[in-house]
Amino acid sequence: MAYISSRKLFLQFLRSKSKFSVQKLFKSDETTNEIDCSKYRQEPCTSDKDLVLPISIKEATSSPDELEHARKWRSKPILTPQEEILSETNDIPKELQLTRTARIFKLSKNSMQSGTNNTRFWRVMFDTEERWENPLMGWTSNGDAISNVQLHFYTLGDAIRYCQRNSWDYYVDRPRDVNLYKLRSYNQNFAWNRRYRASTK
Amino acid sequence: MVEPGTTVLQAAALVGVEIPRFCYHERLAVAGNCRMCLVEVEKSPKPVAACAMPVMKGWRVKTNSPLTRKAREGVMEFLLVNHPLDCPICDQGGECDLQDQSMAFGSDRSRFTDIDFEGKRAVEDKDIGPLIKTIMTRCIHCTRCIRFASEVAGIDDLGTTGRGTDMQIGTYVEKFFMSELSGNVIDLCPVGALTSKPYSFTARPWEIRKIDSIDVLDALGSNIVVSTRTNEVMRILPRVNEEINEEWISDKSRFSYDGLKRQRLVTPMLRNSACELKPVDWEAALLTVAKVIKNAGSSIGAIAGGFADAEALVALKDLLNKLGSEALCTEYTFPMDGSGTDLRSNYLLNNGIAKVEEADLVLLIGTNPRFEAPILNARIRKGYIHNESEIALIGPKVDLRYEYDHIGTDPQILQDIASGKHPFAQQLQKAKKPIIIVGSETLERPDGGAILAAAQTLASKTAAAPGWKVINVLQKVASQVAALDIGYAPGASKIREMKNLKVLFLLGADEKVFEKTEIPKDCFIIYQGHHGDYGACIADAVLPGAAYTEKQATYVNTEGRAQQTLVAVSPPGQAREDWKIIRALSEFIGAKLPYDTLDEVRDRLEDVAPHLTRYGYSEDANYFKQALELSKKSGVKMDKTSLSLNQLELEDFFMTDTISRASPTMAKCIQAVKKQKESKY
Repeated sequence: MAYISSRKLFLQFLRSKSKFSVQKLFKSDETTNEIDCSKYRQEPCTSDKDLVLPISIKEATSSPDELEHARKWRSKPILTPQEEILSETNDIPKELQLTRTARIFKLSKNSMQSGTNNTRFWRVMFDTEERWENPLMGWTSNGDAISNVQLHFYTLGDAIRYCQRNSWDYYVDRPRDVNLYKLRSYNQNFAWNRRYRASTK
Repeated sequence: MVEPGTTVLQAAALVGVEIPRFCYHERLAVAGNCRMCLVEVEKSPKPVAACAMPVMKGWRVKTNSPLTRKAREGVMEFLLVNHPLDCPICDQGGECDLQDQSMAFGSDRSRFTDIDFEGKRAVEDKDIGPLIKTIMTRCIHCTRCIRFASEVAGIDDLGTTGRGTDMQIGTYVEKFFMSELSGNVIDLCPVGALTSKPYSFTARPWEIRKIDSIDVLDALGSNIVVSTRTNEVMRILPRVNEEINEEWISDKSRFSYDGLKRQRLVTPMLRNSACELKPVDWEAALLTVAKVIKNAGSSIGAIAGGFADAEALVALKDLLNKLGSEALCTEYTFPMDGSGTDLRSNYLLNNGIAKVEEADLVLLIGTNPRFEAPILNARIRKGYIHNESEIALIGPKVDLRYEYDHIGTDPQILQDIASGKHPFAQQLQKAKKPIIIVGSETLERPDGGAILAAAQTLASKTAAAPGWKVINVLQKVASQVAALDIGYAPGASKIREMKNLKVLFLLGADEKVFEKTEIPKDCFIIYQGHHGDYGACIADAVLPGAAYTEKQATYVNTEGRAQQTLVAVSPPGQAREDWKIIRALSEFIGAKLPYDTLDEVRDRLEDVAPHLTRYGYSEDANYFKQALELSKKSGVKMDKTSLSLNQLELEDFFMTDTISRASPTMAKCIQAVKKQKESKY
C-alpha cells in the first residue's frame, strides 16, 4: 500500500484553482464520475460470460418491452454531477476534520471463525483515541464519537469518494491478494510414501 | 473450470459460495468427519461431503436444496444432542461456528428424548498447560486441533481415544502441550472446547474493538489483530497474511500482551542526588535532558533497542546528526567486514518467508528457527511435509520438530562444503531450489564476517535459477532491518570506543549489550522506552514511550517488508509516542526537527529510504555477486570454536525481551515446561 496522503492532494487542488477533477488524481479504475451500476452488489456466477448459451438467461426471461427498456438505458450511462466537497456544508467539526485520519481497509477474516462475509466490504474507520472504564457503571466511555464510526462500502471507489467529499484525510490499506489455492484431497491422508500421511487420528 | 481433483467445497468457494463446515480447514488435511458440508449432487442418491469429494465434469451441485438443508439440519441435531447449552458462560459465545451455524442451518427443536434420564454426555477436562483452557464436554470431535498439532506444530501429542459416545480428544496421559505454536488451536477450535486461559471470562467479542496491527516480538512481523476494551489490550489474534504468517502466530506474540500492563514507565523520571529515580513532569524532564545534551555538544551517542520503530529511529538519527554526532548504533551487532550493512542483501531474508516452503533443500547455519522465528519454522516444516524438502543444520543440535541432517557444530564445515570435501556439497549442488538461512546470532561472533562470506560462497556455487535467492539472514528483533536501512551502525562497539562520551541515549535498549563500567563515569544516560528493565535501571533520565500497541509506527521485517502498527490503546500515564518525544526534545535543545505530524515524519522516512513507507510490500535486495566479492576481500579468519545459541530449549523461548519478561503468562509457561520435563511422560 502506498501511503497516499489526501491532504497533499487536497493542497494540490487548492493550488490548481481548476475544478476538482478526481480522474486527474486517481487511476480511472478507482474513481470515475460515471456510476457503473453493475459494479454494485455483483453476485458471483450470474454473469452471462460463464455460461455458454446461445441466448443469455436474462434475455430469455425478459419480455420485448423490458429488453427495449434495458437497451435504452444501457446506452445512456447515469451521470452524476461533478464531485463536490461537502466539508463546507456538513456538520463535522473542523477540528476533527483537520486532526483525524480515516483508514480505508477490508476486514480480515476472523481467525476464530470460518465465515468470510465480513471480509467482502471496504470499511472506513478512524484512528483510535483514548477510552476508559466509566467508574460508576463500568461501561466503556470515550470523548470521541468519531472513532466509533465504521462505514461499509461495496467498492473501494465509493469509500475513497466518501472521504474526498467530506475532506477526510485518508489512506488505503489494500489487502494483499495472494492465491492460496492448494489442492487438498482426502486420499492424501493415506499416502503410503509421503510425509503428509496422517500419523494421528 | 477448476483443476482436476478440486473438492466441491473449494470449487464452490472459488465462485463465492460458502458451504458450512466444522472439521474442514484450508490449511489442514481433509478429515471429513463432521459431515456439516453435505451437499446434494444431482442424480446421486445420497448427499456427499463437499470437503472430501472431488468435483466431476457435468456435476450439478445444489448447495441450498431441500435435501442439502435437511442433511445439515440432521447433522446439527446430532451435534447438539451432546453439546451443552452453556453459551452464556462460554468464552466462544459470540464468535462460535457452532452457535452461528445452528442459527443458520439448525432446527429449532430436537427430536432426541433421553429415555434413560442420563443427561448429556460429560467429559472430564484436561490440563494441557497455562495457555489453553479445555472444556471437553463442548468438544464436537472435529479433530482440527489434532491435525494442527501433528501437521503444523509437529507435536503428535493430541489424539482421540474411544469411539462413539465415548470418544475423547486428549493427550492420552495428562501433559503440557509443549509447543511454541499451541495458541493456534484456540483459534482453530470451532466451538468453545479449547479457549484461551489468560483471556477467559474477561471480555465478549461484541464489546471488543479490533485493531489491525503488526507483531514485534520476533523479526517476522506477523500480522495480528489487537482486541481492546476500556483502553486495555484484551487479547491478540492472528490476521491472515499469506506472505508472512498465513493464519498462525507464536505463543509469545499471542500471550505476552499482559506484559504490556506491567513494569510500564508511566511518567518521566530523573535521578536525584540520592541516586534515586524520581517522577517529574515532562517539562522538567525535557528541560534537564536538553540542557545536558546542549552541554555535551557532539559527544553524544545512541543505542536503539529491538522494539524501536522507524519513525523514532529516523527522528533520533536526525537529531543526533544535527548535533554533530554520528554515533548511532543498534543493540545487535552485524559483521561490518566486506560490504557490511552497505548492501541490503547482506542482512535480509532475501528470498522471502513464503518461498521457504518451495525450497527443496534448506541449510540452517547457526540458528534455531523454532524459537527465533516460530512461524518461519512452521513454513520450513510445511515444505518438509508437502514438498519433501530436505533440511540440514550446522550449529547446536536442537529439536526443530522435523527430521534434519545435523552436519555439525563447527563453522569450518562451511569451508569443507565449499571446497567439495564434505559429502553435503553434492547434495547442495544437485538442489534446484536451495535456501541457506544464517542466524543473526551467529553473525554476532567475532568471525561473523567469515561465516557470512562462507555462506555467500556456498550460495554462489549452487545451481539455483536466477531470481531464486539462496542466501538469507534471519534477524532476531523487529527493529534491526529498519535501523540498518536508516543508517544505524550495528552493535554498540562505536559507543564503547568513544572516550569522551558525555550523553548516551538509549532508545529502548535493554539487552545489557554494555556494562555501565564500559562507558565514562560522568556519562549521562537517557532511557526512552516503555518498560522498566535494564535500560531504565542504569538511566539518569527516563522518558516514557509507547509500546507497539499504542502507536502508529513502521516496522520492517526480516525480509525487508515495511508494515505499520496502528494505535489500539493510548499509552499509559504520561507516556507518549516515541517520535513525538524526540521531536519535543529537539525543540528544547534548539535543534528543531522539521516535522510536526506523522505524515511529515513519513515524508522524511521516504526521503531516507522510499521502501519504508510502502506498507505491505517487501523491497528486494540484490548485488549478491558484489557482496560476495567484497566479503572475500575482507580476509577475516574463521574461529575453531563451535557455534552456540541462546535459545535451545522451549523454556528459553518465552522470555526474550522487555515485554515478554514482564509477562506473568510467559513466566507460567516456563514453569509449566520445567515441570513437564521433570515428569516421566
